[in-house]
Amino acid sequence: MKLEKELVAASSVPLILSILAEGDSYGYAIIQRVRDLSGGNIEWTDGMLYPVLHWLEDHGQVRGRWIKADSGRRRRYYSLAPKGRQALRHQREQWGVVTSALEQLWRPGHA
Amino acid sequence: MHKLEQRITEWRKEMTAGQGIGRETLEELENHLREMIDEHLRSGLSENDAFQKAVARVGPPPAISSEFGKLTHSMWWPVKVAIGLGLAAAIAMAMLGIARFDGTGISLLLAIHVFTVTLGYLSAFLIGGVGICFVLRRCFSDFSPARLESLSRISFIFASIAAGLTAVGMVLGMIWSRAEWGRFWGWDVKEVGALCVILWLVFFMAAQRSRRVSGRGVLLLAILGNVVLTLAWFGANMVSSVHGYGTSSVFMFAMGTGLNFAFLLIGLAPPGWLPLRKA
Repeated sequence: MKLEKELVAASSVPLILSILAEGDSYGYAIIQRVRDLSGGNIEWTDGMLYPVLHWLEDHGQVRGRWIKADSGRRRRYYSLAPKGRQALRHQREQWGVVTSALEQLWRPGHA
Repeated sequence: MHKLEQRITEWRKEMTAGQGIGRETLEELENHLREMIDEHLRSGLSENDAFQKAVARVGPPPAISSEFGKLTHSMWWPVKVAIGLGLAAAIAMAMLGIARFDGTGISLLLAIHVFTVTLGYLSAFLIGGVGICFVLRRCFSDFSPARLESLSRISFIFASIAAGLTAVGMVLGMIWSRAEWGRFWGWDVKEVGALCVILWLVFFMAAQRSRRVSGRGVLLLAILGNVVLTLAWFGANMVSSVHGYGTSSVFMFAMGTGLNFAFLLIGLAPPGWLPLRKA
């Protein structure tokens, strides 16, 4: 089962912030983590992750820095900024409301 | 492997054809592509299949470019201030020129010459001002590659305006000089200074367009441009010149060069070296 495009887009920010809350990461690793967590059901066009990351960086929610990888190439690592932690709390509250409402509606026996 | 590198080079060209993807964003996307190719190669795919699959996953360049294009719509506040200052200065100088205009054709030519050259220099100083704001903000945290690309492109627009105004002003000055002094060009320090400013701006624009200089490099060059402008504006008046405008203040000259070199040095430090608060 593949998720619909709109739902994938809406969930991208909370997913990225939550992954970065686990620790610093970079684009490719974030995509892999999302794939693992969703069992491959959340399909991002990989290139679309970067505009979102840069948007979050411009808005002070994440911080980026270049680090030289073992391959000799530079990798841009992202970490969660205090503003991002705050945004993540807000996102969790909002998604909590939605999931709780849906769980109640879809509970077996509910009319 | 050579063929794969060639295909990656072609992919890079396709990516940079669109707006919004700068040098650093491209580096990030290319790293992603290469990691994916490596993963596919490890799983036993051929080079060709690994490349095709990775490119498909990264997505079509026009779509990615369009997404990055949407990011650059919000303008950084120092850029807004620079535009506002430029416009305010243009209006103020135009009003002052009209008030002082005595009605003769030659006087009009001289007034437009002074107006365009001064505005050209000011536009170039404003690029340096944005560069200084960039360096100061970078002490606390880095800029996103997309934001850097946007600032680099805005610097190019400012430089085009500055070069155009200075060049027009210089030509008008040459025409005025022919009528008044009987020669187009006299190798006066201020004339040479204006020529240096134009050449510097052309070099700056070429560096920005070449994509060999990073966004940070472009903004550091903008600060270096302030030194060139200080030499042309304040420095030229310290030696004898037939041009009356400008000031020969040693203080301004020393401040202009010293401070800009200091900002340049700060710009060489790693981003976020001066954290305001801990995460």
